[in-house]
Amino acid sequence: MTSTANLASQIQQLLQIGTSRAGGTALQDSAIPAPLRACLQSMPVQSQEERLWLTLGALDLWQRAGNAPVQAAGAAEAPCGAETLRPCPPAAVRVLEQLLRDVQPGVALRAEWLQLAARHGCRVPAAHLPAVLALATRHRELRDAALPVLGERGSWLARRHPDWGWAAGGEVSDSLAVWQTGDAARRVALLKAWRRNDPAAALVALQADWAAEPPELRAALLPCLAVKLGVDDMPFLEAALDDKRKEVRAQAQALLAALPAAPLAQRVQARLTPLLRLEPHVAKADRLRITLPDSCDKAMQRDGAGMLAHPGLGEKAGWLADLVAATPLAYWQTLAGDPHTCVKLAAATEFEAALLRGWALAVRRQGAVNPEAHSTLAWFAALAQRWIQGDYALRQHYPRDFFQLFSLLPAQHAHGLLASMVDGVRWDAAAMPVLELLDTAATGMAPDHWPHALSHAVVAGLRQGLPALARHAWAVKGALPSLAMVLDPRVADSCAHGWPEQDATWPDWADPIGRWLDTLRFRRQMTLSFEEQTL
Amino acid sequence: MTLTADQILALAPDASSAKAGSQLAQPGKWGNLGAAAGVLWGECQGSGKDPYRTQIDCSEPAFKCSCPSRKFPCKHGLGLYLLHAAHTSRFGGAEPPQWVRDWLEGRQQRAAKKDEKAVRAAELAARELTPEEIEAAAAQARKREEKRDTKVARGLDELQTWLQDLAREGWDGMRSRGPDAWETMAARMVDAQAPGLAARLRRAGTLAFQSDLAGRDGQLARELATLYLLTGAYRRIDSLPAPLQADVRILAGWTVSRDEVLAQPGIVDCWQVLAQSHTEEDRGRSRATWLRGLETGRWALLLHFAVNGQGYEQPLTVGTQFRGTLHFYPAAWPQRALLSAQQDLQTMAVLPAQPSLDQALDAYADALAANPFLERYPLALDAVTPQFDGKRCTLRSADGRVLPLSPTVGEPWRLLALSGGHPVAVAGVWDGHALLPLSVWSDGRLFTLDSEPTP
Repeated sequence: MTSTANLASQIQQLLQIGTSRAGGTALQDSAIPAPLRACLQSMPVQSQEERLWLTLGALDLWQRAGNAPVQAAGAAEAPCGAETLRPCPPAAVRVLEQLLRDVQPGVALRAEWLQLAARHGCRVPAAHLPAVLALATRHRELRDAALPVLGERGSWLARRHPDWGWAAGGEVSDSLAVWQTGDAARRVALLKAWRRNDPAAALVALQADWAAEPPELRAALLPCLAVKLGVDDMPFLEAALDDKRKEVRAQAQALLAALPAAPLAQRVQARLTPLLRLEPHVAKADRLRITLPDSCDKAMQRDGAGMLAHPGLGEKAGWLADLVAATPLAYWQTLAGDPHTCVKLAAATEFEAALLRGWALAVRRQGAVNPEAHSTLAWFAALAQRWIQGDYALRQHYPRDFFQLFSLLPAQHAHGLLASMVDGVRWDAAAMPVLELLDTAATGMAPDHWPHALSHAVVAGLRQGLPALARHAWAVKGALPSLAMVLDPRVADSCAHGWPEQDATWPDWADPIGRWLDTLRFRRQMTLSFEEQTL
Repeated sequence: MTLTADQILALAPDASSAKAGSQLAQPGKWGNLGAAAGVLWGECQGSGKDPYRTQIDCSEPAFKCSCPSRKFPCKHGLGLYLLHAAHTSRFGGAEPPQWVRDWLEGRQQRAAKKDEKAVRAAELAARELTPEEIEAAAAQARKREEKRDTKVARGLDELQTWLQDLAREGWDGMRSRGPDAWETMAARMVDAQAPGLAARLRRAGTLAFQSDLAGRDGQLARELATLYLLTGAYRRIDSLPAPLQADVRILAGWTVSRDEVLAQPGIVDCWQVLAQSHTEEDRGRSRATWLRGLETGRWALLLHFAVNGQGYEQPLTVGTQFRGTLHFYPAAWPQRALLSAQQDLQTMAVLPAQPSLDQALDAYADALAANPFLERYPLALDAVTPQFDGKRCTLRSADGRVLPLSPTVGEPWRLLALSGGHPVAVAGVWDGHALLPLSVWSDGRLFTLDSEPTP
């Protein structure tokens, strides 16, 4: 310890206990460095306490004036590597600054900025890295979009922060250790990632420990097989139909029902076939005759009958829905024809609700495995059209997550389907189901924005229909934010004018529509900001 | 003239104004936009019938808006300025409309009147009063001062005794008596007309009772020792060099009027705004701005106060520079100053080379020798690398020496992000023990580390 540090700690101790309790241990003259002592001796000192304060004051000045920085003990930290991404255009930086200041609300806009930056090969400016890292730490859903644009500087910085490990890059955690010792959430995430890369190996790993997993974990892990589900998974799933846990059985049933080649699907089809009969008519339309199953035995239950609740359906009609839900969609082509024909036939029966529910479940399940199949698209379109035309009660029979299929379909098909719904719709109360579907599609769909023609049609429809939609203002306003995020931002250039500003209902619309247009304009500006030439 | 968006936003009185201003920075919200000779104007449709007329004289910058907001500058002023930064081409080069010309003329007239008034006041002071009258006024002033002097001296005696008691009793005894006893002593200093001492005592009290920083007791002890030295210095103020006398008086709480300071000869230079820090106060906030003259190399400190909801009277943004005249407060090591004229505002293009670490610390020792009560000292260093070991942040010089950063520095992430482990130039405030970093020069731009006003 240096003599000054020694003196400082002596004074510190005296002050801690107080001179009155320090007994004889007053400040020793010898502890004071000579030059300081000389300086202090020139001052008249009246008490021990005064001497303490003066010595400390002088010592402090002496230390501050003579502060000599010491050599570092170790080597300097490694600096971050050279960037491969280019800097953002200044206009794009300004847009980011506005987003970080919350000028426009919503995580989606921030995600779009990050995606645009990635598309243009740009990186987040160094000054804004802490804010972007903190934002994506708070909003997990931004992380995938943020990772490609953080640059070398971003991962260098993230390695130093306890909460930013997700962006640190490089060190991939030992996945086998996570699989064996991780908590449920981490194991589920790992298994899903594993399925994406190597479905067969993931299945082997799951099977290896399956019998020893506690039931809750079995129920949590099994749905991961939905990722890249295939015929190789069938034997394992078939065995899971006899699991002790009900949730596990239900998941195995749903997954097998998604595979038309599965023995389960064949068994169910065989049970359904005798219940249906198509009566051809020469003069009138064909009719579909339906007999409800009159009992549900153990074998039927094992294949999923009676497992799901079907609100609004009787018990036997519910069994019918369960059978339809697990029957391969191709069966209907041979029985009655294309999906439109089937839906039309169903409308003429007394069990339309059960059929629609069953079909919707089947399309949801089989479409998730094979979203690009022609049958998926045709069935989805036919069921969506029936949904739009149907009344409130009919719509309730569709499973809640049916229209999430929008996010799985190839973008061009989803866009085409949306365009055909918007095309020719009357923009009054009749447009409300369409608007609801547009909202659902907009919420779930990938960041690709909608084609210009579709975007333009939506804007034109709203512009013309607002007065007639006044009674549904609440629902329309609810759909605006999600639509603002998916429409082609170029419509912002043309949609500023022509709104029914003279209409009596306009005061109610002015605010939400103004905000809506603001968001569209902001997105337009954001897109353009990346196209600005950099020097 | 060409401020960047974040420099403009730094002018905002608070975060909500910054946000509202940003939202107004869209061409669609404005009509009759124009720019000529450093003046911007535009009309913004608000909730009222008539649009608000907003105008900016960019040379200061000065704002004027017909909206009723108490905020200054208001969101329209900020929005117009931001719009100009982003879409300069939208501003036609037309003749300013009548309302803009009126404002400019009014400003010129007021400036002229101000000069005139100053001249007249000076004439008045020089003229007419008879020698007797002058003598009488001076005697009266002297009497007032003497009276206050006695009060302050008595207060200081009390403070000395109190500090001695404190040393006798020890920290533990002091803490057991609680913060109220401390506050009583601070209040005594206000009664004794030594508000400067009261403020320092309260600051030390915060350290004693609220802070949980490492090394708190050591810092508290040093703070109180300085206070003790100050009481001693005030007692024998007549024996101190005249410039230091001024420092000691100001520290005790005597004020120097603006006029007195502005009467000092001004120093004209191109001043670079190198660092800034904001502090929350009881009824508003204060802003410390560090300038350095490009030609003289002199540092200056400008202090400004803003009451709730108002912006600062003089917008000053880190990373800008302007030609201006500064008048320094009388001091042994002149630092604090007032700004009397400001023009030709622009973004800083170059940061001159800084003195070496040793030169800078030697200069600090000189400053401390001239004024041992110097609290903050501006320090700018070239080629230092911020290092972070997971707990403490330091600066590492090119020759491998380490400068500790102040424990009060908040999140080090912005500093680290801007350097990325590479050497950068850093400006901040040095207290002899640690540096509080306030700005970083990186990529040809000066970035402030102070978080105001954007949240």
